[in-house]
Amino acid sequence: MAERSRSVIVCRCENVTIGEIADVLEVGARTFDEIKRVTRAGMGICQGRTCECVVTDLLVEDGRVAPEEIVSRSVRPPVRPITLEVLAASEPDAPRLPDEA
Amino acid sequence: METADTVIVGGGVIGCATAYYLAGRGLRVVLCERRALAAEASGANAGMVGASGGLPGRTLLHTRKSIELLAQAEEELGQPIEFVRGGRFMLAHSPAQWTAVQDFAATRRREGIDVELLSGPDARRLEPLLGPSVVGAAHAPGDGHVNPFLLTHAYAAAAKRHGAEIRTGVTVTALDMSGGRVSGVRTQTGGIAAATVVLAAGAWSAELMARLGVSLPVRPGRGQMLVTDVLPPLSRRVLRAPALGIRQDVRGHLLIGSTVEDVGFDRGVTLPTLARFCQVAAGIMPVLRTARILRAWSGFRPMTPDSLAIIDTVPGATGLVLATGHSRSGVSYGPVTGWLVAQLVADGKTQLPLTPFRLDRFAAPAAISAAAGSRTGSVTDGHTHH
Repeated sequence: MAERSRSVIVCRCENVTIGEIADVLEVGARTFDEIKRVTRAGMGICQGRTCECVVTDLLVEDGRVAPEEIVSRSVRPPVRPITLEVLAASEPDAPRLPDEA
Repeated sequence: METADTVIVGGGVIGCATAYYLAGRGLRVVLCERRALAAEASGANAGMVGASGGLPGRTLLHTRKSIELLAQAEEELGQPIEFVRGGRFMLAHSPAQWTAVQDFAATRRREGIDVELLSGPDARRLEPLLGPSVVGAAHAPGDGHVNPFLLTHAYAAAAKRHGAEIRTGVTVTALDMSGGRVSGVRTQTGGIAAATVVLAAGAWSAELMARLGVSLPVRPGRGQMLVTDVLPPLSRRVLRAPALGIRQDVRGHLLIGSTVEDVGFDRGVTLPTLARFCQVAAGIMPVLRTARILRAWSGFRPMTPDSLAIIDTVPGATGLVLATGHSRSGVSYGPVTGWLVAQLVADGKTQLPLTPFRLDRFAAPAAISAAAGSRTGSVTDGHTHH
């Protein structure tokens, strides 16, 4: 990758640059989740919705992962951010946790 | 067939810490991880660490050593691990919990771990955001938290600098045995011959041992957790109530959890549990009500019947070292486990007793049958017992 493009931001939520992603590809990261654990790309408020495309492009461009071997990022609830009080209120009869006295 | 001195099975915090300490002793280490580093329990936890979390009379020695090693690791590993030694509060919200918290403080103090008791008002003086229902707290100022992803990767990177090979996407399909000795491992890409194999595969360790005819008492214990969006600094401390733990990372996200569920390897999260986390968390720290949850996930802790790890050799399988079953405390015991296993492998003895972690403490004896390999002449039991 061109030196001048290393500072381009890929994950806007966590300010992760092309350079940081290139560096973890060098040491073996091959999936979005692996890149995420170390660079934090995808840990912000959009949870990778915005940056997954670019990260995938970088992976394919890098060449060490064939396009058909690309693994999507793991998606987890909630679909969009939800406050604790809203989630708490959604299950007023939620049973106590086992360790609650 | 390629060779190594030691093959480590599993790329979580235990495997990577072991790789670091072993490679530092000059051994040729190959670590095989079937997915990615910290892809399982080591990447699903809240990163809580500390001496006070050990078992009185048995492992407080080990947890204290572990956090000392962690504090040293920050410098030695040369990479940020986000270790914050801000202390831990064990919170009580009822008279029964207050009794338990007093006992917690007394048992730790008896073994030289600094824990003070705080009344409700005193706890809230130190932590003004605690809810009004707090009755009291035990305060362990020497405990803290760490970023488990960064810690695992830092151990692996440092191990590599000392010559270790860290291989991800490599599944160990079997442990090779010959005449009562481990001779290496088999993977989907070929075999690796080695004099020593360290099994650090967490909740998947039992599967590999079953193929040797050994029933390892390690079962997956699913834990659910959630993480919030960034908030202003609320606390550097780990806040623990009996049912829930809360801690804030260096960027401001709060990690809230967890459970121990016997559901096999079901990676789901469940709404009533997450909702209950929110209800309990709001009681512990009311300002969290308006925090926004970004993600909920689950991970599989390697649970043993007494929640202590298994760090031991195996009768009838010379060269095999178990370093698994860390239950809910893998990150906390990770550094000392790696340190001790390296001693066990390189020196045949350890600087701290491994008594609490012996395989034979479980009722059903677990050993390779005489048919599978010689059990008798095992000269190398491995470690001295203090």
